[in-house]
Amino acid sequence: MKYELVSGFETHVELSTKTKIFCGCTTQFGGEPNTHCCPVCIGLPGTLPKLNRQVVKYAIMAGLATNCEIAEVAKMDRKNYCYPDLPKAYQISEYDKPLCEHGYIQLSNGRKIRILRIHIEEDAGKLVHAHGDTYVDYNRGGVPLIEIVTEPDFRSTDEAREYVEKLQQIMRYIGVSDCRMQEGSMRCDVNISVRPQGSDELGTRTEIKNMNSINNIVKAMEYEYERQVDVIEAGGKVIQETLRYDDASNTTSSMRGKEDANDYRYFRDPDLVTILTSRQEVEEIRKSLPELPAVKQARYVDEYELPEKDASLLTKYRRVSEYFDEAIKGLKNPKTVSNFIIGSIFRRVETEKDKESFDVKVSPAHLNELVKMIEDKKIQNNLAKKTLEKMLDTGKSCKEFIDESDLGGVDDSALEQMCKNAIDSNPNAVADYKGGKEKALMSLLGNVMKQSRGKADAQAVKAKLIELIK
Amino acid sequence: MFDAISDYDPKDSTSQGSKTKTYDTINNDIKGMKVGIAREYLEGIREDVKEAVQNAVKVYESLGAEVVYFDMPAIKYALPVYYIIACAEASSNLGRYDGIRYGFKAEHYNGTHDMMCRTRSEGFGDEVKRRILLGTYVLSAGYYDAYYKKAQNLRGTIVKAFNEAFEQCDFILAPTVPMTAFEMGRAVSDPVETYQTDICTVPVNIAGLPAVSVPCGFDSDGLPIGMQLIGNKFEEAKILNAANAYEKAASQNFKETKWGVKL
Repeated sequence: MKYELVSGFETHVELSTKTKIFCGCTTQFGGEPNTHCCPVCIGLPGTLPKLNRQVVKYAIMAGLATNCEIAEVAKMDRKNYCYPDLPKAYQISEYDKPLCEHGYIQLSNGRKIRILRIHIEEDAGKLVHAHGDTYVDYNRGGVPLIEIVTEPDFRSTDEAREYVEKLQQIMRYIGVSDCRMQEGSMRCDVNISVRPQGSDELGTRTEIKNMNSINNIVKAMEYEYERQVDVIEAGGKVIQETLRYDDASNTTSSMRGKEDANDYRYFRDPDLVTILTSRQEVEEIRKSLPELPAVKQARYVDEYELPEKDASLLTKYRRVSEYFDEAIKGLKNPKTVSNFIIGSIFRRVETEKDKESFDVKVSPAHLNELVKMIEDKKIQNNLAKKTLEKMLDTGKSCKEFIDESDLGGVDDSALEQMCKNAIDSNPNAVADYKGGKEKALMSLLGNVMKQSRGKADAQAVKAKLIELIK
Repeated sequence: MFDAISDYDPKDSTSQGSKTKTYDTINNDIKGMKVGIAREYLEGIREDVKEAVQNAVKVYESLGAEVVYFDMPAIKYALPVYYIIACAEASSNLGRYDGIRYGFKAEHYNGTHDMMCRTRSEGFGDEVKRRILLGTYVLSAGYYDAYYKKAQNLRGTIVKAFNEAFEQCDFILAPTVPMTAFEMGRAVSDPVETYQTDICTVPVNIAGLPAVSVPCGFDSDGLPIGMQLIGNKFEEAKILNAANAYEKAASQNFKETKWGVKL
């Protein structure tokens, strides 16, 4: 029998606000243990939380960018559980009235992954095991998170991969998170079940906790799919449990079963007031959102006639697309700019982090200047490409090199003079051409190119020669 | 003092805050004020306490106030509602006393989990443990709807009942405690009876209202009897003014007792 994979994601995204969700401490990653803390975020008696309004704004941005409805009235609840990294013994979260609901992210195969909800909550601290002992670092405690919960809409690991990439891309675009999985600013819990192909019922699911790379997510899903199919094929039943994935052995193992599930005793946090979001505020946030990657990509294809693949490469990182937008200003042919970015500049910007910041030596204005010279036929394409390499080495404008190595194009009167010279000194070739030998033109062209030391534009020379011979 | 503590606290999201100078508005003039008496507040109250409260009503009448009587059946629920909500919050609030960062920590333990269990078992007293157990119970998945949710709904009913009451009167006059002080040590043996003594004071805590307790007489043992004046939200000035007017008119109730406590 064939089995279908059914999966849903719960993704925690750390918001890049300057301060924590309920106090004024910095959210900076790292730092000496317990230096980014205050009485509020380590839960000293008598302290009270005060909601950072920027967190609400970022969560609304995330909701709007994933097509969610934004609640007018939301509230914060306490999720009670006891663990040393949770100083108050409860996490302040949103239980039954999340800020954002009913959104979706569309995949390239056209399927929509429905987003059930996005809610805000605080992160916990971290346990550090060292010298045979356990220590607690509360620096991360109280860092704002959003949890993005999907419906069980994934049917393949490819869809899962694309979803995580798209989610990362969107959150980075709108600037609410850097979504660095290695640093833990994005973490996924993956729910998986299998069912006979064609069935409408959901099978018993397992949950793999805290996945911190896309490759691991895919590998863990593949492993867990096979494992569940094996269990069912052998006549057994999948047990509902929480699993952890071991990278080294590529296996999953049980953390806790259903019967050990916590009763979180959710109730509204009496220390915090109702969160009200006016429709006006939501609309203002909507207007302030940058053009989203999917929209931008479609526009690059429609408006600039870029190939789908190139448009996708340019829009993957916001800074790259902004660079492109800046560099094509006033140009007739954005494709040339796109080719230079993808062909030449990308070769020097290798890591994901570098593409994200896209801090290249050639400014968009300098690239624009170079491409303008091509369009004005002052420089040939292949010479421009060489010039770009020099620009990338030095950060200087193309003018510097064009003057330096005399790559400047040939102006019209000089070109005409060179063509005349060629015609005058090669009467045979002219006669051959007139007699119908198209190829004869090539020797005249060669002559002109020689005269211009390769600077002249071949197409322009050809046209001029034909014009003069007539 | 009141003016200082009533100011806005930027570190407390639930703080409303005001800049009014309540003290300056106290003039002891309560002519024409309406004193509300809710019958339910006098049910199950010891006779001498009831009598002292009724005498206080007469004092207010003599000062030119008008008395209105009405029913507030909702306040009967205040006691169970209060103990459900207060215990629920306490069970969560006290979770932080785990011995990790501060406070009492068990001396002998085996691992983190054991340390937390022992710290809490040894550190908390019986009443605190009782409330934590009650609180966790009413919040647990199987009982949340039957207890906590119901209590929150009833809290709304109680708030509404007070809102309606304040449409008819300026403040409500009621006993503070249904009896006078009991002997030391009795509280421990019967917790439910002890909780019952809170029956008159918990409604304001549920409804979020200001109240002031004022001495209004003595029982046969010479123990003081208290009454409370309950005001509408943010109407502290009104009840303080009324309390002060009463103190001026009934100073015999504010004398020194044989235990040496000047009231």
